Amino acid sequence: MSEWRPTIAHFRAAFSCVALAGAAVIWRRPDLLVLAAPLTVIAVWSTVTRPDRDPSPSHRLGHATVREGEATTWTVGLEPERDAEHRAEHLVAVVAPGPWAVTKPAGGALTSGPAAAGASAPTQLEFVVRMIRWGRQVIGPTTVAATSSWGAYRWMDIVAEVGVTVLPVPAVFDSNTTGQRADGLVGLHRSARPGDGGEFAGIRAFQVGDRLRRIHWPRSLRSGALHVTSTWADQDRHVVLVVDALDDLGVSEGIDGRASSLDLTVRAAGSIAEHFGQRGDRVSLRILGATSMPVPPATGRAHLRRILDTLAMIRAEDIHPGAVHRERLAMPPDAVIVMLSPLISKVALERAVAFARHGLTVVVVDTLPDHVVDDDDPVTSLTWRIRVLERRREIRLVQEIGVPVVPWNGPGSLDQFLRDVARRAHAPRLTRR
Amino acid sequence: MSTDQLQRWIDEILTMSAQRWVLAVITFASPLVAVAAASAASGSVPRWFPLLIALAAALTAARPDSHNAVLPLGLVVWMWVATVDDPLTPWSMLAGISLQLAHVTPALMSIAPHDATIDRGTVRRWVLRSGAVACAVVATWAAATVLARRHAPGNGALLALALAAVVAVTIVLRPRAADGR
Repeated sequence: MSEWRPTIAHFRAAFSCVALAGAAVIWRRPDLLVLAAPLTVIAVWSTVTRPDRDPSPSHRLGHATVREGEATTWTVGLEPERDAEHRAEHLVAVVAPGPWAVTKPAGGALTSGPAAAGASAPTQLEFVVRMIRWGRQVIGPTTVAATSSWGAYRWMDIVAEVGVTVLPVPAVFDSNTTGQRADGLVGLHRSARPGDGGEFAGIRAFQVGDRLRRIHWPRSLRSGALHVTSTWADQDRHVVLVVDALDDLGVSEGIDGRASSLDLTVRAAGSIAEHFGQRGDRVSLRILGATSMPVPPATGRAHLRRILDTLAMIRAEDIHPGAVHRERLAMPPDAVIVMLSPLISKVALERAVAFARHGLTVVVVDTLPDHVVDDDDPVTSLTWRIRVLERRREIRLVQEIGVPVVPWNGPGSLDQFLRDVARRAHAPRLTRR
Repeated sequence: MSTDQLQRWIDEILTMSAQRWVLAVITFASPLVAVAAASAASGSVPRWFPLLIALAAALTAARPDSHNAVLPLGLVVWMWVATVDDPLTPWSMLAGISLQLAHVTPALMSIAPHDATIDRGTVRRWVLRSGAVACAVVATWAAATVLARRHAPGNGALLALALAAVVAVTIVLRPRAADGR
C-alpha cells in the first residue's frame, strides 16, 4: 500500500515560487513577483487541497471463466470516502500487457477525471480484456495511480494479477457415422437387441414381464390377445480421449492466428468431447504425463464443461515425460480410444500400440501443425524435415500393426474410423490378454 | 543513453497519443513565448538564449515527469532579470502566464502514461483553473503597478517583514507538503 507523496511538479512549483518571491523582495523587482504569482497560487492551492487520507483500491473481475476469443471486464478503482474533505481528483490505471490478454484500450491505460472522483460513488475504470488463448491466463498486474489537484500529490498501488480460466473453443467437428459397438443402455445409437428405448421395433404378443404401458390396445382389441409395442434398446458408447500434452510444437498466436500442436490437440479434444457428449455417449479424458486427475466417463453439458476445464488446466511446462512411463492407463474393454497427439514423442505411439495389442479400439489423431517445419534458421528447418520423415516412417509402422492414424481435419476426421469400428463389431478379433 | 533506453524512448514517441503531442508542443512553445515577451520588453535578447531555452523546453517535453522542467523556468527568469530593466512592464504578465503554462502542461502530462488520453473533464478543469490563476497574474501586476506609483521610500523593516512572511509561509506549508496533516 502506498501513501500520498508530493510530485516533482509540486516541488518545482514550491521551489520556484519561494525563489522568485525571495528574489523579488531582495532585488526590489515587482516583475519577478508577477512571474512568481502563478506558481505561488498553484503551490498553495495544491498544498491546501492535499487529500486527507490514503484511498483504498478496489477491483473486480467480470467473469472468472471465459472461452477463447471472448472478453471480460476488469474493473479497478477506489473505494468511496464519504467523510473526506479532499479526495483524489484523477485516477489512472495501467494494465501490464500479457501475452494472451488483449486489453482495450490498446495501451492498457485508462484515465478518469474529476467528475467521477468528486462524487460519493467510487471512481472506477473498466477495461475490456479479450482472452485469445485457452489455459489459465492472467490479467495484470495493474498499476493504479491517483493524483490530487494540479498533479501535486500522487498515490500509487499495484493490484496483483488475477487469474482467468480460458476454456478452449472446440474446433468444428461432426461425424455422420453411427457406432454399433457399445453396451450401455442409454444413448442415441440403436441397439442390435430389443429393450427399453425410443426406437420402434415392432408389435408382438404380450410376455410376462412386459410393462403395462407398452400394451398396444388397438391391436389387442382386434386380435383378442394382448400385444405390446416393442422397441430397440438405446445404447451409448464410452469414448476415452487420451491427450498427448508432452510437446507443444509450433507457434501459438491465439484464437486468431496460427495454432501450436497443443492448441490443435486441446481444441480437437474439446470438439470430439462435445460431439459425443451431445449424442449421449459417455466421454472420459486422460492426459498423458499430466498431474491432473483423469475425468471419469459421463455425459451431458456439465460433464463437457468439466472436460473443458481440465483441458484448460494443461500446461506444457507441467508435463513430466518420465511420469508417463510409470502411469498405468487401464481402459475398459469396450471403450473407443481416441488419442490426440502430434506424434513427435514416441510415448504416444507406444501407448497406442499397447492399446491395440490388448484388443482395444484405438485411433490416433495427428495434430502436428504444418507450419512447424517452416523456420528461418535453415539448420532448424532441415532438422524438422528429417524428424518429419522419421515420424512418417513411425506412423507407417504403427498403421501396419493395425492402429489407424488420421490427420485432424475437423468435420469428418473420424468418419472412416467409426465406420470401420461399426463393421468390425461383428467380426472375430484376436487379442493378447 | 544505452541502446535499450534509446529504443524505449523512440517507442514511446511513436506510441504517443495525439493529445500528448499537443501538450508537448505547448510545453515546448511556452518558454519561447516568455522569451518573446522578454525581447519585447527589453528590445534585445542574446541569440543563443532562445536556443538554450528551446533545448531545455524540448527536454521537458520529452520527460515531463522529471526535474528537467525546472531548466526552462530558471533560464527564462535568468534571462528576464538579465535583460529587462523595467520592473513594471506589462510584458511581465505574458511572461508570467507563459511560465505558468511551462509548469502546468508538464504537470498535466505527468499524471498519465504517454500513450493514454486524458479525459475531457480533467482537461476542462485544468484549463478553467489555469484561467483563474492567470487572473492572479494580472491582479499581481496591477497591484505592483499601483504600489510602485506611490513612490514609497525603501524600508528595511518592511523588507525584513516581507522576507519573514515568505519564510513563514514556507514553513507553514512545508509540513503539509511533505508529511501531510
